[in-house]
Formats: sequence, C-alpha cells, structure tokens
Amino acid sequence: MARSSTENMITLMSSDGEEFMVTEKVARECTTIRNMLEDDCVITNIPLPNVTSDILSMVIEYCMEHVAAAEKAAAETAEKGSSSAPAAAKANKDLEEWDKAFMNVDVYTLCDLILAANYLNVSGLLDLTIQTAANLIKGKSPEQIRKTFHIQNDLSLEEEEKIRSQTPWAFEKSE
Amino acid sequence: MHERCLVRSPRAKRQKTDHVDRISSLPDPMLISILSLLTTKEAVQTSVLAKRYRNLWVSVPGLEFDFDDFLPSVEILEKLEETDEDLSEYEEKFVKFVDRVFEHRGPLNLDSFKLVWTEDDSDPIRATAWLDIVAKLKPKFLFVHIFSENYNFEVPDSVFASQSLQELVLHLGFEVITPRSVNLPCLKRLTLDSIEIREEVMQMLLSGSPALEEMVLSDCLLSFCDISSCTLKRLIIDGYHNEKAPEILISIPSLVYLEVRCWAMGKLNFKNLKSLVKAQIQFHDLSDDEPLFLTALSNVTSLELVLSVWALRDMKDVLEKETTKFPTFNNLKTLKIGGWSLTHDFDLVDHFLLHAPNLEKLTLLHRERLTCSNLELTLGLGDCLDIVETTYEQNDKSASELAKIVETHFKTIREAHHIPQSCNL
Repeated sequence: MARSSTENMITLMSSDGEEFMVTEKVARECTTIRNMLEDDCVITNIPLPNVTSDILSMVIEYCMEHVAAAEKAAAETAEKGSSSAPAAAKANKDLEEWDKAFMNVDVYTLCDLILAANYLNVSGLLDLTIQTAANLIKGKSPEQIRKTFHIQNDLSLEEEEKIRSQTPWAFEKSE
Repeated sequence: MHERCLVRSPRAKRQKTDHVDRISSLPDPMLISILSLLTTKEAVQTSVLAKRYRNLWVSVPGLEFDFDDFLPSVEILEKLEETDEDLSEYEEKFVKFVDRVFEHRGPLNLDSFKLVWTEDDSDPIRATAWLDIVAKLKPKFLFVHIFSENYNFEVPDSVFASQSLQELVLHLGFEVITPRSVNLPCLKRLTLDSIEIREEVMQMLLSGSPALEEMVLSDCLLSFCDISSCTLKRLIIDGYHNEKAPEILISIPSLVYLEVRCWAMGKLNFKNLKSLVKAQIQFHDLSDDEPLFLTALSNVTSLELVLSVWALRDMKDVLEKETTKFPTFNNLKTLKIGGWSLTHDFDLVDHFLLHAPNLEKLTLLHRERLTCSNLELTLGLGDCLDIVETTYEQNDKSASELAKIVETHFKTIREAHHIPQSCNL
C-alpha cells in the first residue's frame, strides 16, 4: 500500500502494554479514536486499556483491509472518471470473502472482537461479528448452542422445565 | 516504519481458551443485538440456555412472525391437501405463539414489527388485533404482508395514527384500505403493494404524512386522480391497475427521483417535476397522442428509458407527427436507452442525441427478439459525448453488428465498452 511519508502516524497501546503504530486514516476507522482525535488534534499516543494486544492487532488488520479497499476503489474512480459497475461488484465480493475468512476464529476470540468493536466503535466490524455470532445460533437446538459457545447450563431440571412450560409454543416442533 | 510489521499473527499468541464461556459475559445490549438477528421463535428458544438468557429475548426490539415457519413439511402439506384437511391446527399454533409473545413482553416498546401471513384459507382476524397492540408500542418500522382469499383483513385505525412510525410497508391481496383519518407525523417511507387506493385515502395519506419522502406503489389498483405533494422526494410506481380513474395527474415539485415500470404510460400524466434529477422509466404501451411524460422529465440529469417494441412503435408514431415537439434535455448527462433491437431501429436514440446537447454517457440496451423494419441510421452527436456502452444478451449474434454500428457512427468517442450480460426487462 503506497502511502505518503507526511501522513500522520498514531500509536495505539493495548492493555498489556504493546504499541501499534498505524496511519491516522486507519485509526480513524474506530469512531472512538476519531472522536478523540477531533477533540485533541495533537494527540499521537492513545492507550486502550480495554483491548488486549492480540485483539487489537486483529481490529487493526480489519481496519487496514477496509481502508485499503476504499482507497483502491477511490483510485480507480479517479483514474477512469467513473467506476465501472462490474469492477466495483467484484471488489465488494472480494472484501466480503476477506471478511468471511477473517471471521474464521474460535468463539472466544469472536466474543472479544464484539467487545472491542463495540468499545472502539467500528460499526462494520461490530455488524460483522454480531452477525457471525447469530449465524452460529441459527438452526441449532438449545443443547447444540450451549455446546458451540461452551455455555454452562446453570438451570436446574425443574427450572428448565418451568421455562419450557411457560413458553411451550416456542419449543413445539412444526411436524 | 511500516505498520504491517507491527501487526503480528494473533492466532499464534492466543492463550488456550477452549471450553471457556465468553459469550455469556457480553453486556446485555450486545447479546440483545445478536438475538435480534434471529427469528422471534429462535430468540425465545434461547431462554433455556442458562439463567443469563432467561428473560433476555423479551428486550429484543424487533419481532418477526411468518406463518410459513409454522407450517409442516411439504410432504405433510401434500397429504393434508389430498385428504382435504385444512390448516387450522397450524393456524392455532401460530396465533397462540404470537399472542403469548405479546403477553410475555407486556408494554415494552417495539422498534420494528414484521408479520407475514399469506395463506388462502387463513382467517387473519387476529392480525388486526396484533397491529393494534403494536401501534401502541411506538414502532418505527412496520411490515405487514397478509394475503387471504376468503377473508377480509382490516388495518386498524391505530396504525394510521402512530406518532412514531417512520416506515410502513403494507402488502395485501387487493384489499381496500379504509383509514378514517391519517396522522403519521414521522412517516418517511410508505410502501403499498397490491392494495386498492381510493381518492380520499390517497389525499389523507399525503396530507396526514407531512414528513413523507418516499412512496412506493407496487401493483396497486389506483382509484384516484392525482398525487400532489410538496415533500415527496422519491416516487416509485412498479406496475399499476386503474380501471376506474381515466388519468392520474402526478404533480410533485419536490420530487428528485422517479421510477416507473408499467404497462400503459399514457395514463400517468406528469406535471411540475421541476426538481427531478433522475428518472427510470420502463413501459409496454404509450396509449397516448403525445409523449407528455418526456416533456415533464426534460430537467433530469440522468434518464433510463426501457421500452418494449410496442412502446417504441407508439413513441415513433407520435414523434412522426408534425405537431409533436421533442423536448430539449439540457441537463441530461447520462442516458440509458433500449429494450428493443437497436440494430433495426436507432431512431429514438437519434432523437435523444439531437436533443441532449450535454450528454456525457450513453448506454445502449440492445435486445434481439422481434424484428422491426430495417432503418437507416443518421446520428446527431453532442459535443460532449465521451463513453459509449453497449449491453446485449449473451450469445446474441447481432451484438457484433451493433458494435459495428456504434463504431461507424460514433467515431469521435474516446471510450467504447461492450459488455455481454443478460439484461432484464
């Protein structure tokens, strides 16, 4: 990715003290950071006490990919005067494929990414992770959902029966 | 320094987190966001996962019910049909389910509500009561698709008096809507599908929705004479029927975008569209002596005109008359035109080229179906014409012919793209 040397660099510091140097453009993908930069434009070092280094590096990876895709599309439009529809559709599809591959993580990491995307306010990443979590629930029985997310069932048999009996309509099979 | 060096592979570093329940420690708003992407039935089922999830589904801000989700498998349905049994057993289950969800939620506000109940023999009587409940829960988005051949469904008056509603979609099986009054101060988008709209109802909807920006009329029976509005920005008419009204006057000075796909164009009489920027028009039959709609559209910067062979013939008949004046499209920058065989008939395109002095991009939609008379091509070329795109159906042998026509007659063009693809008319 070509980048002019004059571009501002921002250092993001994870909860475990690791530093990540990113371009201001990438950092601005996080609305939380964008707001900080707008409040105080000379700030160059931002501590993020709620995000660990492994999750922060993934969030940065996501933001970089999406900034690069947007830059590429803008460059193509500038070059040709107008963007051709098939090329734009292909670029969108490529980014979707990238997102899909990026979401190939264990459920623990997925939940950490939801928290980080929410805290840093990266709306694209939040939508993506929430949808991925919902897809992991869809079409599964309660037992299968517990297994997928390692949820301990702390309801006693009686309690579970009681809930089921209060809402039997939800558990009736159509057949 | 390159930032990529600093981003290390995260997957290598992660500590062993197998069998740790992380999702249950997410804050409520995030879990509710996840549940709101499930169907209402799936969301309710999460109540038995663990204590954490017991009442979480109640806070989901949207409800979505589809009777189809409650129907048995296709094999069982076929058997039911053979033995002439009805679906009342499944209807009962569906009604009970929806009723209980409302009971359980109580008076908690609702952002969106979606109800789909399309079964010929169903009696959607409960649906009216549900909508009445929903209208009191300050909904922003309401989607109702109900079709019943043997029963009438009535949209309750409370829906038309919602102070919170921003978008309303009503898709009914040619029912009449008969609100006694309309007071929808926040409504921005209104979609009416397969509904009979009478004169007084259209007037009420327009005067009672002062914030309305977009109206979509899809396959409706239009029993009114005019649409006049000073707020509407987008109007989409996707097929219509109008046995009763002879002509519909559409006068919307605030309109920016117009989309019409219909059979008979001549019955829609457009006037006073001075803010219009973009129009997409597709029709089969002009049935009018004057292409008045062209005059009404002459301010647009972007126009898409897709015609059937019959519509083309009608247009040409009218244009051949001496009294017809083809309007000048001074603002037109992009034009997409076609739907018929352009190798056989290029006249209408010519008319546009002569009357659009500032055209920058022309897209031709070439279709080879019925043969029109072979006509000689004379091209008038605007000074600004830059790009020519031709779209044709795959395996179309006449495509190369069209390419030749384009090359011969547009020598001054800088760019020409030929895109093979199926074009949908």
